Amino acid sequence: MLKNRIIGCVLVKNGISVQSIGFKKFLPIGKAEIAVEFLSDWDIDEIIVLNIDSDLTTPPDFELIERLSRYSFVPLTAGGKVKSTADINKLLRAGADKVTINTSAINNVKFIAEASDMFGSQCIVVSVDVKKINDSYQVFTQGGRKSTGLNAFDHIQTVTASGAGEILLNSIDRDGSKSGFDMELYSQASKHTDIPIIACGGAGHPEHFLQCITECRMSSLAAGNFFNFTEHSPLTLKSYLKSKMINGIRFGTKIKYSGFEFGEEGRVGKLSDRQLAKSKYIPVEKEII
Amino acid sequence: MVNSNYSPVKTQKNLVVVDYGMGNLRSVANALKFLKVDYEVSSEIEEIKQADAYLLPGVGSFSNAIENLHTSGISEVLTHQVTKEKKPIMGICLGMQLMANESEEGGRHTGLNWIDGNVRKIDSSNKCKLPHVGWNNVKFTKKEPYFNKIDNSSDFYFDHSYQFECNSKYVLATCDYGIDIVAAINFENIFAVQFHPEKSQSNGLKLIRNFLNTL
Repeated sequence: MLKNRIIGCVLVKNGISVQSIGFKKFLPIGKAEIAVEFLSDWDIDEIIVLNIDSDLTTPPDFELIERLSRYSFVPLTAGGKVKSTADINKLLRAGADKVTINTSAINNVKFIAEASDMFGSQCIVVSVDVKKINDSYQVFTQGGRKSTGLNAFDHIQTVTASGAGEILLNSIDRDGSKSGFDMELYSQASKHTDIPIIACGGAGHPEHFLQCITECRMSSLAAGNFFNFTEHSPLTLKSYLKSKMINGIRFGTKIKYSGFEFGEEGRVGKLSDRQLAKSKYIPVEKEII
Repeated sequence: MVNSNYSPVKTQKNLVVVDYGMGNLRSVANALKFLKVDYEVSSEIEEIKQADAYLLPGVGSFSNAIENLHTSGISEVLTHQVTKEKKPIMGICLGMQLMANESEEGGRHTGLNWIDGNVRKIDSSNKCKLPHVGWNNVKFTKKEPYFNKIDNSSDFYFDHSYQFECNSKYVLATCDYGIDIVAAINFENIFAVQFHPEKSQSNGLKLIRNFLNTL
C-alpha cells in the first residue's frame, strides 16, 4: 500500500535556510545543508527545496541544489525561478528528482505541457500560492504580493489538464501561523483534480497533520517551520500519527517514539516514572551498507 | 543514519552510469559516492563499450529518452553489450521501462526490446491517483542476490504513471497500488527496478550495493 507522505520544506533565501511567516517575514535558521541532512536522516519522506530570493530575473540556484542533493537520500524537489525546460534539465542534473513550477505556470500554462512532455508528468510539481479573499481562494505570485485574479481551483484544473504531476498547494494565510492546515481549502481542492495534492502551510502541532489526513483525506502533507526547531521532528510526528491509528506511515529507521506522550506544544513529553523504570537501554549498531 | 566506511566492495569493475541526456544522474551519482564506488557518468560510445557493468537511470518521458538513445548511437552499442556480451545492467524507473518492446507513453514507441514486455498506463479506474508517487512496500519472491539484507515488504520510493507489463517469469518483485505493479524484474544479466533505489534511504542503497556485489 502507498504510504502517506510527510514532506519537509526547506526555504532558502540569499543562500541560507529561513523560516517564513505569512510569506512576508523571514527569520534566518542556518545552513540549508544541515536542514536537508537532518530531514533525510530523520525519516522524512521527501524534501522540497524552494529558493525564495525576490529577484525573479535570475536563473534557479543550480549550485545550491548540487550542494544539498549530496545530503538527501530521499526524493528532492527543487523550486524557485524555474522558467524553461533547460532550467529543469539543469536542476535534474544538479541532483533534483522533481521540480516545482509556480509563476511560469501562471504566465504560460503551455510551459507545463511542454515540460511534462519532455520530463514526464511525474517530474513536474506545480506550486500554487493561495490567499482567501472574500470567501474565494485566489492565486498570488511574487511571494504573495501580487494578485493574479485567478481562482485557485480553476488554476488547479488548468494545470492538471496541461500535464502537471502534483500540486503543491500553499496557504499564504496559514504560512508560519502554526494554526493548522486550511481544511476547507484542501477538502475543496481535491474535488477539482485527480492528481496528488500536497498540503502546505500552517502545521504547528502533530494533531494538524492528523486532522488533515482523517478529515480532508489528504495523503501528502508538507511543513517547513514545524520540522525546523525540534530534534527528530519527522520521527516524532510519524510516531504520533501511528499512535493515532493512522496506517500507512513509513518508518525507515529503528528509532521509534512509541509509548511517548505529546505535550500541548506537540513536542514529545517526558515518560512517566513507571515507564522509565520499565525502559531499558538497547544499543542499536550503525548499519553498514 | 548509516555509514559505509568499511563495507566490502567485492570487485572494482568499470561501472558506467549511462548518460543519454536526461534523468536524475546526480542523484544516482550521489548514491554511488556514498557507497564509495568508482564510476563514470558517460555518453561516450567508446567508454560504454569498454565498461563492465551499467546503470541506466531515468526520469523523463519514454519517447524523448528512446529518441536520445537512438540518435546518440547509445542504444545500438548498449544493446550489443547487454544482450550479446551479457554485461550486467541495472535499470532504474524509466531505465527499466526502456527495456520493453514498446511503450504507449505519448504515442506508441518501440523500446530497446531486451525484455519481452510492454509499458502501459497504470489502470486508475480503481480511484488510485496518478502518478503513483510516494513510498510503497515491495514484495519480492527471491531474496538473493538483489534483495539481500532487505526485509520483504520494505518501503521504496516510486514516481511513475506507466507500468511494465511482462511475463511473470521475469518479475522479481511487485507492489500493491490497487493492482499489482511490477516493481523489479530480472532476466539473466538484466536487473531493473521501477522504484528509485537512489532515493529510498538505506533500503535503496542496500539494493544498489547488492547489484554491485554481483559484479
